[in-house]
Amino acid sequence: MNYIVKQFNDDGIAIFQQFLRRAKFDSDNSDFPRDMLFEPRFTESLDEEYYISDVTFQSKHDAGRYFEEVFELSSNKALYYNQKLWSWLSAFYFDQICPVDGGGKRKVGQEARYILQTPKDYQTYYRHLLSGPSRIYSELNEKGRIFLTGELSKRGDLIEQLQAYQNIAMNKGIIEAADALYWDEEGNKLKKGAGSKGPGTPRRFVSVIGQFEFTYDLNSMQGENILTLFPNEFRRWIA
Amino acid sequence: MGEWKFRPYQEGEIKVDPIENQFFTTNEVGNISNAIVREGIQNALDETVDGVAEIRIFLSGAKYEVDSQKAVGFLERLTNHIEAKGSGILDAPDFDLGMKFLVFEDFNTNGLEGDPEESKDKDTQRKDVKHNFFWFWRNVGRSGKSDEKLGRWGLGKTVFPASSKINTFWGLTIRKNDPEHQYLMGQSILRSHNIEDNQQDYGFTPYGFYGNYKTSNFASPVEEKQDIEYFKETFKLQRGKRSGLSVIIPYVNEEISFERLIYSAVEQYFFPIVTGNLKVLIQHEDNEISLTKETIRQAINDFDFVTLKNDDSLRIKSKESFVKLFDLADYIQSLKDDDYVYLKEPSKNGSPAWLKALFDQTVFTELQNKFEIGERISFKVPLKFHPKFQEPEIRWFKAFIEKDADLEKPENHFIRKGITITGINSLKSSGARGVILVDDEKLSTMIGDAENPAHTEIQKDSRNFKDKYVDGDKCLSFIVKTLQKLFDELQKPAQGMEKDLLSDFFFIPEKEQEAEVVKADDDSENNDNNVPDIHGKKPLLKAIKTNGGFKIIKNPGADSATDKRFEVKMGYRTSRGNPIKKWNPIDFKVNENPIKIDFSGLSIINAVDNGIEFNINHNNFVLDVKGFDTNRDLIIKF
Repeated sequence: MNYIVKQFNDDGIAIFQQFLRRAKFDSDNSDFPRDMLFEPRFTESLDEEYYISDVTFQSKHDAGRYFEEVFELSSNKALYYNQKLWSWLSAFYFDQICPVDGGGKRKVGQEARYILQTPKDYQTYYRHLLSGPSRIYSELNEKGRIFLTGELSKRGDLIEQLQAYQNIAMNKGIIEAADALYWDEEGNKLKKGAGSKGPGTPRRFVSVIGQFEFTYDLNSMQGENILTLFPNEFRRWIA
Repeated sequence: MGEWKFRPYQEGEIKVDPIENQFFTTNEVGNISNAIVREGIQNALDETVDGVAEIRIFLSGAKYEVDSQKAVGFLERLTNHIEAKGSGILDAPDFDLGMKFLVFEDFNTNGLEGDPEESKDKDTQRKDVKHNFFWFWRNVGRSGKSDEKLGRWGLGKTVFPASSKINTFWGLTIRKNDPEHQYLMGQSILRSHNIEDNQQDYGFTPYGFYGNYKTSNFASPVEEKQDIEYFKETFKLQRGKRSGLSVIIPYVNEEISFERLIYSAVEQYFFPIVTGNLKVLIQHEDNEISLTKETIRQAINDFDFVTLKNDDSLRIKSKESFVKLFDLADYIQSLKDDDYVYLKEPSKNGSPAWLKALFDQTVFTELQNKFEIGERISFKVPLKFHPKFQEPEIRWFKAFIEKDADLEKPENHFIRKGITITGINSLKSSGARGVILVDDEKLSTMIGDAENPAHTEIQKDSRNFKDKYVDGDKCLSFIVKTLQKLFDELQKPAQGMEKDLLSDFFFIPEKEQEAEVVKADDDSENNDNNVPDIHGKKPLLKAIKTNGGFKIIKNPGADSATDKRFEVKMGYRTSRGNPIKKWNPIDFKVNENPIKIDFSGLSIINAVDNGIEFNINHNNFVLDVKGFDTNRDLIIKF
């Protein structure tokens, strides 16, 4: 079944916020009432009509690709920052981004995961579970795959490491370099050990990029050129 | 003449010692000068007759102190209570010496209105007459001030006795609506105590009063003209026949100084002064300084900040900062409604929150450019005002923000109806000055309800605030965050790298020196521009960059370095944090390949991790360290 996409109005955002706060401590009442998603008191229409369905996302990559297709984000970038829309979508897909665990309880996380924050606050802005992957997919397509592995409701160490820094999160050259280092083409997944600590791991990648920033204009470099700068500790990751 | 009297406790009466002084501790108010200026002026602003309050603060100093014989007359039957064991006065002054005092007078105010004799509940609860005299003299921790007034706790006046070494003060009032009468009373706040020459079975209560005693326990004010004129002359009052209140503080605390009073008045009340709603005259012996709309700039220009140089509590550190603040206040006063940027009005039914919906992105893109080039930006910010059991409504307050590259720390000013609430610091980003101005009656009421007795902070658990408003805590949080949220929104998105991100890091401490060793383009050694110019004594060591490393030699022209011990630390320059502290063993270790250390004329004491400790044997020494990654900048520090 297809649903017309709405967005919350201010009251809707407030209601959703209240719901999240309550659900954090009262897991018996943590189902967001679906009828509120289409209730005129709490929602408003978008400028254009978009339709979504109750599709199940296998991964962040799935979600990113789906929303790129629905909204054509690459040519509608203003939607990246639409807090009312992404918060409404979070409420719509709440069962997927905040699933009930084996014990029948939801673990509601930080509000920024469900309600999109201001882009100025980039350290929380990227944490939105739907908008984050969608923006990455829209900007980087398949090159952003290292960010888009894993379940929608969980954040991986790699994405935390790389995406917390604005200058890395959207720098295509750096992402290409990270992709070359940590993506297993054959297995179509992250290389084994990419989540660990130590020489050459993503944590070090972030540190060393921070050191290169003073000596190279990384914004103007291709991934393969950036790769040539890396010291020996990264050797084992370069296939 | 009046007399001092403490009421004896009755049998079975619970003994309670005053605790109100704790609301005016250094932690609460910064210092006692701040407190007395804050409270005294606030009381005057509450009772101003036509919008302009006038204040006079007079410090007698030694020149105009009251001689001991004269002072004794005013302290009769008080000194034995003060000197009693357990009175709470641990360091009583020598009553054989003169009495230095402080006078705090307000003019153009209503004075303490109401029946000076009233004390019965049925009288004091009447709504059709004023009761200020009753509230001021006969209550502690209770206030008759209505919501829109600045004071609500009934504790503000406590600062007067707290400024006296004998916890005592007098007050003389002439009322606007009763100009023919003058009323003089005094109060001394001790602890429950007893006195040797008049032992009471149950001791004396802590509160003593100066006045006329028509009955044994009730002090009426002194009204006799002759007595009052003598009092006015003794304490150099300038009350004349003008309405208002004069407070006299005997044996004034020595921490209260002329300079401190001036600074406190300007820091806390610059806004009503600059806008012409307040005039303050501060006098010390024969020196005086006038703070009015016309004179405040000159006053600050003449003010000697050096006298307060060791005072860490100064919120405004320089004359220049004050001048910029006055400019900002002038600018604020000149604004019309359409000069403001209005944030979008939120729903009345939601909780106050800094949501993106408040900002019109189109407008803010333009504002970012203006802010970037140093323009002041003025906002009107909407906030829900929702007292319980009433309908919610949106009210507005004002916010102003400007860049000031000279500010090492952000400057925050939170002004509610003229009074600066000093403990609210929203801006965390350096190089910016922000002002929050709450002049809306209803919002002022709400914030005032949340203030602590010293008016230095707002507290969601304040007894006057808690449970009074829907989402009250969120309202306070919203308003406190305002300046930083606006500042964040005014930041232009980063355009590539911030080249000067670490510019502040490159300073030369007195005994340390840093040199940046940038990626070498060739193998040539470069002896120029590696060491920044240092005025004064030349540093002993000089760093020279080499390909993939650096050399350290004696700085030509510097004193001998022989037999001196040094440590050099290294780290790759990084866009986040201190390179030395951010060093990671994976980056390099000085005692492992590929790093090589060659040296002559010195002894290596220790070379481990990212540090080399060495002792210089003779001045012709060289420490040569190489093998660093040439794709990264190396920072060295010694």
